[in-house]
Amino acid sequence: MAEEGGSAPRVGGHASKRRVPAAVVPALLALAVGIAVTAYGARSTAMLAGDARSDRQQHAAEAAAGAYFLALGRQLAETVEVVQGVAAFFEASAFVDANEFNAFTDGPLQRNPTIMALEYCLWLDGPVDGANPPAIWRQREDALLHERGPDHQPAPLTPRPFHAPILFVEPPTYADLIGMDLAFEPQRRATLEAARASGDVAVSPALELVQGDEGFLIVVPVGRQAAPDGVARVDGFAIGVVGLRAVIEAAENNLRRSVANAPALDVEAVLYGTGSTPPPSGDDTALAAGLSVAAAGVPASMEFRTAISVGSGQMVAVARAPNAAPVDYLDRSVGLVVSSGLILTLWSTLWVIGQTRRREEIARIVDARTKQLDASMQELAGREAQLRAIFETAVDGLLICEKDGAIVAANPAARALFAPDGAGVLGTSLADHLRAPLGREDRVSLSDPAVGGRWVENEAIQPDGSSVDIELVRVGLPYTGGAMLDLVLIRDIRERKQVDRLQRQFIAMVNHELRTPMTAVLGALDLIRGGAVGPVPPEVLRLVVIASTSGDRLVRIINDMLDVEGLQAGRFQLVPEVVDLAAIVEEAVRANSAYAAGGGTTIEVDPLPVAQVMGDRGRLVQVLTNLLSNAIKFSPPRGWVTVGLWRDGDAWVASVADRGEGISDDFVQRLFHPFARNDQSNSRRVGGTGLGLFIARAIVEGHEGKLWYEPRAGGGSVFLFALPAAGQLDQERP
Amino acid sequence: MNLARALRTVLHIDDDPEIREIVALALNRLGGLDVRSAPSGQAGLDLARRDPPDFILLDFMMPELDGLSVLTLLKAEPGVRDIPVAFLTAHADPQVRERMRALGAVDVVDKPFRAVDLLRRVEASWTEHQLRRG
Repeated sequence: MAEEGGSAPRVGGHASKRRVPAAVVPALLALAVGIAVTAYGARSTAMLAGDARSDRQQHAAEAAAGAYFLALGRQLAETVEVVQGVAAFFEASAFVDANEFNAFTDGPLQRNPTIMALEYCLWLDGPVDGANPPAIWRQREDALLHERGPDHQPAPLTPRPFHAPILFVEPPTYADLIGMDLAFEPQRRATLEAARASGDVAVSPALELVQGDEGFLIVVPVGRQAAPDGVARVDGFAIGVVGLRAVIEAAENNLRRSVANAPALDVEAVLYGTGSTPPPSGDDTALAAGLSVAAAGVPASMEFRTAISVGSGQMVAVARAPNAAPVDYLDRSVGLVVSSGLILTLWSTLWVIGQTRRREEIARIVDARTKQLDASMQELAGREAQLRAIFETAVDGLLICEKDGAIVAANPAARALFAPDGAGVLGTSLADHLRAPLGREDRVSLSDPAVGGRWVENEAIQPDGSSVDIELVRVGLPYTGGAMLDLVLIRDIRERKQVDRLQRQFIAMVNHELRTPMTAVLGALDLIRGGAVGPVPPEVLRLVVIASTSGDRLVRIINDMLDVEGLQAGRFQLVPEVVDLAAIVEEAVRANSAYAAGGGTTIEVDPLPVAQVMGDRGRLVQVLTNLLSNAIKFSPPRGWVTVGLWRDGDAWVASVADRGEGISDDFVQRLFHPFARNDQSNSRRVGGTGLGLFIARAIVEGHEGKLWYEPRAGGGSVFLFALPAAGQLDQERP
Repeated sequence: MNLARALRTVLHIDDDPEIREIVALALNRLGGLDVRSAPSGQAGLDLARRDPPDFILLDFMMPELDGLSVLTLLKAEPGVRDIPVAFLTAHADPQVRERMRALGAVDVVDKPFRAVDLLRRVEASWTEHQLRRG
């Protein structure tokens, strides 16, 4: 098993026990890639989110600043209008007294909390008469005013019945007059002079009011008449003292009242009078369009500036937004990306591990199967080699044929029989090589126990046309897919036939050679016995009888031994035809009747049905005769022998029973053996050849029948044989 | 037609002298028949031609001219073909016996035989032959 994930497994390697390492590398890879992608995605998302957020923040700040500036502008304009109103009031009236002034300024002061004080002061060219103040002064009730004392230090204003305003005079005198000390305030003075020069509203820079707050002055010149030279003459000034913070607060309040989203106003506004330098922003980088950009794309404080015209001058408003919130890595979108990324990473890692494991599993299984296959193939190859060796070296010819006879395989022995000249036999038909046609009798299946007994003789045609004696048998091979095949076994029987021929010749010779002298012996004895050559004295006769009887027995032995030889060579000559067992029984009974009568034995024959069997008449008579003669031989004097014949299923059964002594148990074992003799025999039983039952059984078995012994109930013996009824045998001729 | 012409003369052809003597003795002493013997097939043929017998007993196994050949030759000659022929043989082969009958033998007698049996067989065959011919 290969250790690297992904390469082909090698056959024959050892299965890996450590599965983890193979999956670790791709898993770590997947994990690393996933985390890297997630991190990059998260960072990009965060940056985008940050950018979007800062954009939003900037826009919001811009909007808020814009709103602020508007509010501030409006507030300033309102405040200027109030002072302009005061100026118009004085322009309209030649004479104004304090009560009228108070009444007039009630309203504005109430509506504009930004105005700390309103005054009208005269323009004086000369010294002022303290007893006849030329201007009037009105202050807010809640405004804390100061005056400069004789030591020029501010001190709370002591209320007087009538307050004289500060006069704008040249040269600076009247320093102890209450109100604003114009003389020592060059900025105030500059503002008044700017108003006088332009004839328009002037605004002072931010001042520290005597009241203690930061404020500024709005000065509106009051001109009564135009001089002949066209330059407007200023009679006096309407002055508003405006609190700077109050303006901003008022603007904010107005803004809040009018803007729906109060939290959007996260801006701090500052107002600077013309000429004063707004302090630098919180960060030191250059202000560009009011936005300072800090590192990493995260905006720091945002500043917005605008100039608001007030009269002929300008005020600078600066709005500062708080520091933009730093990029929040816990932004929801980032979280989404990260969690998705982690989930995907995890999933893909697991998937990679799973895939790797599966591939390993498959590789292991394939390896195991391959090894199994190899082992099986080796085993098969070994077995095939064995079988092939058997096939090739078998002494008998072996052929494998298809059902139609076409030869698909032949071993050397078969080829030697059919084509000794070396020509091929493959593809030829088996029938073409044989003299006699093939029937069904030679075919068996592997499971058929009769394989050994189904050989059929035939002749193998040689290339020169001559024949070779063979016998063959065909075995149907089990079906294993493909064609149905037969295995044909062929045996060269020339030698056997030769031996048979010699044997037959020998036997014929022996037969002839034995019988010929016996003919003379018996013939001569017969003639003597018969008196053909004259009278025979009794003792001579007795001896002749002895010789004659023994001679007869010798002939019977010769006959039986020829039969036995025929049986043992398996060439029992049967001439089959349809015969009637009943007739055979009758013939056998007739043949034995004299013998039976000689011993006083009666042969009883049960009613005989017509019993047709396929058989050799002569031989069947031989069997029955043998059984009958045995029965008679072993019957007691004046006993009787019973013959029966009946049908049992597919067979006819014949029985011959005697009422003799029966047969002892240990002799029963040897009953059908050649030359078997029961030793407890009396002299009458001596006379047989000992081969009768052996031959009888062979004849019956040659007829596909059975011959057997049963003890007779009530004493004695029963010999039975069964033969297949005619009509049962047509499929199976030996 | 006379069906019962009696059997009088028998020709016995056999190469074995003892058998010849026994058969002649048996048929003559027991049956009163006139028996002539020939020691070979050829001699037997000559005798038959010269003086046709009533019946011929033929041995199967003989050197030079065997029994079957003699029978064939007999059956081919007009003067002797009608004489009934029976085989005397020790041969047990049924195919051979079949052949004998096919060639025209009226009987096949096994060796060894009882003398009386032989006589009876010959007489029976003679009678049967007469009947069939008549």
